[in-house]
Amino acid sequence: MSADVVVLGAGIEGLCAALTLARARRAVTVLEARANIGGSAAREEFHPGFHTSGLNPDASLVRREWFDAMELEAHGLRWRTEEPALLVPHSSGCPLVFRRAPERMDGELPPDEHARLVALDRLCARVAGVLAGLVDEPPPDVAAPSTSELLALAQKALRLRRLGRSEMLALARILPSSAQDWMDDALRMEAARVALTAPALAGTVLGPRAPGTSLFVLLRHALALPEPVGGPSMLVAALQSACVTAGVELRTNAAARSLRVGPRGVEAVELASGEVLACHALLSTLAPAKTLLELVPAGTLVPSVENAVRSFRARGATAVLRLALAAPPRFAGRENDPIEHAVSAPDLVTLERAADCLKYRKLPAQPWVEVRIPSRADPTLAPEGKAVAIVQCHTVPHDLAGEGGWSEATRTRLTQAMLAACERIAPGVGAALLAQELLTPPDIEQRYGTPGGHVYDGELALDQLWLQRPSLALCRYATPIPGLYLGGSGSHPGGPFRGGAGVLSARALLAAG
Amino acid sequence: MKTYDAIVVGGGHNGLVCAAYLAKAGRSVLVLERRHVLGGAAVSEEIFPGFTFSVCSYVVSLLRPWIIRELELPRFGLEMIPLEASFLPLPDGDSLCRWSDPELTRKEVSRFSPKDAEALGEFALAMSKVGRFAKPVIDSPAPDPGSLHPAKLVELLRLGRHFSQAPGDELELRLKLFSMSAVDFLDEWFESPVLKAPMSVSGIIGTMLGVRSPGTAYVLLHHYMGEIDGAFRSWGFSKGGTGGVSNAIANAARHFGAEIRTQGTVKQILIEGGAARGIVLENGDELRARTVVSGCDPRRTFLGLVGKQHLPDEFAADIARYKYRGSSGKVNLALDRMPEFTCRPGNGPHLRGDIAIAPSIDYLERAYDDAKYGDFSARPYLNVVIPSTVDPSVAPPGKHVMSCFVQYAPYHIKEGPEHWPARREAFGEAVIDTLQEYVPDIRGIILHKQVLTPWDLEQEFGLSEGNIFHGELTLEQLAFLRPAAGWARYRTPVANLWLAGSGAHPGGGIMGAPGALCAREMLASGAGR
Repeated sequence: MSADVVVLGAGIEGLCAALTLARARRAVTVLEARANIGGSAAREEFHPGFHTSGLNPDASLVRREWFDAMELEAHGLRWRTEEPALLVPHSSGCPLVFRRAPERMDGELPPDEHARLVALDRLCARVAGVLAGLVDEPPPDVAAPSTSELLALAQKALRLRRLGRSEMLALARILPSSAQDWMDDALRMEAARVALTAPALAGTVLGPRAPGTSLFVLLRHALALPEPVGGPSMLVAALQSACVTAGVELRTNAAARSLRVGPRGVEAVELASGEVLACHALLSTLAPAKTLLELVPAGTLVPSVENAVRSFRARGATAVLRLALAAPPRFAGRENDPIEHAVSAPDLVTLERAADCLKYRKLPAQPWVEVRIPSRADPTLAPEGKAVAIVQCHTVPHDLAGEGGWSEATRTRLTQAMLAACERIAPGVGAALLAQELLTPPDIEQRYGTPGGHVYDGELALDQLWLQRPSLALCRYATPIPGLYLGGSGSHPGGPFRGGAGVLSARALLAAG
Repeated sequence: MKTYDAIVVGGGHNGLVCAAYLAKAGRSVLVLERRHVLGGAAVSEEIFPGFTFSVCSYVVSLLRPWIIRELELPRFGLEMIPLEASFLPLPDGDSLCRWSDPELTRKEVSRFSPKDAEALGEFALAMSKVGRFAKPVIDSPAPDPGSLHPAKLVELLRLGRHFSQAPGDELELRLKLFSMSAVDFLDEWFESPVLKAPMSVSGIIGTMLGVRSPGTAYVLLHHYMGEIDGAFRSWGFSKGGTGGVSNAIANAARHFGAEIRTQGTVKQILIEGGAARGIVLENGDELRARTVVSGCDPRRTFLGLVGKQHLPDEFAADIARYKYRGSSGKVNLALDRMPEFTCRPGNGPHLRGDIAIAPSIDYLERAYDDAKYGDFSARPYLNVVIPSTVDPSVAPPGKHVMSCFVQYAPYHIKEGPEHWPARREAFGEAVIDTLQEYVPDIRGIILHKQVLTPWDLEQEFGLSEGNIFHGELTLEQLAFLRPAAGWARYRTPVANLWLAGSGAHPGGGIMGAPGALCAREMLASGAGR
């Protein structure tokens, strides 16, 4: 059996890569290990009648530019007109309902705090263009930058400089700093600080006092946009439809077992079933470790590349608790608001303490949770009147130390702790609980095939972004093996910037001819 | 009344270096030091009769060889004694000692991990390469990316090329070094926690960060930059304590014609017509000068001696935002005899360097956690030296001084910094308790104990919030951002006022570089003539 280009993984990255390749007239075969299309973004029924819109419901940083360019409206993709507000508890009992656009925050903040938020928002807006440019382009080729690349870099530098000296220097000061420091300087209201910081820490293993966390706050605030209607799984559906129209062959239950590499590069992929599919090129959206250390035969890559992939840290730290509820949660102090997104932490210290336990590989004693209620925006996810809540705790160690590691007892403990955190901000959630499903980092590893169980195939950290995602030698999608490309969440931009890696890696493959 | 060419406020080592260079160039210089003794935090004092304590700083690292040469410091009394060992006692009775001799080190480390022992050489080589790249950065003024001046842009471009022009693996190493945590970085080279714990800790000295905090890896370079300073072994003890360095610089300055006064407290910098014209002493006397140099930290200088009203708003905001957050304290002991470490008994060469109490990475992180939440570490990281083992001048025969650098001791304890005096005793006891776990009879041999909390460092030595570096050495406060964007070349917004202390580039430690580079800029601009 033979194919032209094989894409491993039918998640968002894989589908974006496949579509990009197909529209450039390549014949594409996508191999998906699981039974359905979408990878971790696939819609899943976790309890009869109750569905998720993907493992990770956050779709505020998907690269809209790429999706617009792919013209997916014809395949059912719609975008929401605004982002849902984020609820943050406040000691007064009246929680803050935070919206990224300051003009939508009337009444929530006192005038001086509002002015501070406007100033912060303005800085983020001014640098958004430069940041988007960095996110949406491949990292530069530092070994031998082409003229056009040097030009592009120079343009960006100039754009930065034209921001104005004080803005540029503010950026130089903010970028390496801790979110705690930036938030302490920029805002006074603790709940507002939490609103900006908490969601930005997802995928890191850091607390707000860690240097470099400001970058994640900045990226999120500057680049977040309204999400697709129906969440990540609707994105998958539209991509799938477009792929089919473009002639992409989508195969499920087709796990890859190994790659065949010959003198001219990648030659074929061997499936778990034993089938061997020859190909001219292969683009893998699986985790770098999986592709290069499990699928590529041992000894093919030089030790330095193997070591680089091994050092790319992918210790999952997010646990996802899916709740089937008899009714949507009602949040204390804002009972009648149709809240879709909330965090349970009232202050940055809570975030810091929870992150501490990752260092010691223990379960957080008092976890904070991020709650999303996707059924509010997409009622098809739950039976009428009922609700689905996705509760995430971002400080759950993959390799739990002590307490006998992961067991029924520790899973129960974690579930109870996460439910208790929900109950604190949305009393009555426990009573409305019909069913639940907990996915710990090891569960995520097992179910979605990503070593380490990290939701983004690799930690978000200053040293694992851009030129270093997943490593200097691999950051431009090509690998030392001709015809083999990496294009998953473990490549640039990766992380929550879904779609980018798939498109950019496909383009790299096409450029190589 | 005499008008000096320059008055230097503060007789710390940087201020003295600046004064020496200015005097050497023929300027008339007066140095005013508030305390009775020179040196600032690089000071030796006979706290207990017969015992000379290096009260604050205790080892000299990276004192710039070119400064030693140009000021002829050995001639004026500077004598450096290299550190031969880095000893790590462990709670289980074992211990690791790393030596300046790589072979001896390899042997010791191979007991814990043969793989690590092999990796050490490669690691040192890789770090030295990066150190070579970083060295020019500390020996010249910080580039200014905000300027569009062609000369400055060329400088920036050169630095950019300098950074990225390297074989792939070297570039990757540089990228990692500047973005990773010390632990993550070391995890890629070594497996033994016994090696990683004491190595990682250099990344957090003087900062409110943990060994797992991003941005702590690059400080590992420190050790390897000392190596390449060649014949002038710039990492070691100073004979007579660290005050010996300051005294040598002061001697040089006096030789070149500088006037130095102690017990002269400057209350204010005299500002007339928006320019510095001299200083006002505490007793009201005025002294005039064409330029004023401050060796004090930025807060003390600008918000204390100058006053906010004389500063542009943006600068004042930057100075207010500049972070100190002292994280360390000091316990200095006069000992009746040599302390006995149960895990490696005897007065051996392993005690002639530095001794680290850093038994594991978790231990270090817990120490950091205590500080994060507003208390001193119940079980702190200690860096201990017993200089009397190699420098008989600091203690009577058979007796010893033991200097313990303690982390963490947060200036901002939860009750507020002014509560520190009430906690001083408990803080000192926590340190002795910790030592006792390795030296069971320590309490019985203490003749005198001096405990310095961050509050004491601030009150007695003028270090704001007890920060030993005149401000945190984190990326957002380094180079062109130190102490404030646009003012990283020793000039200040106040005409004729210059900053020469560690709050200027390249920052803290006993380097002398800020003082010397400030003097150079001053002389190049014709200041003080």
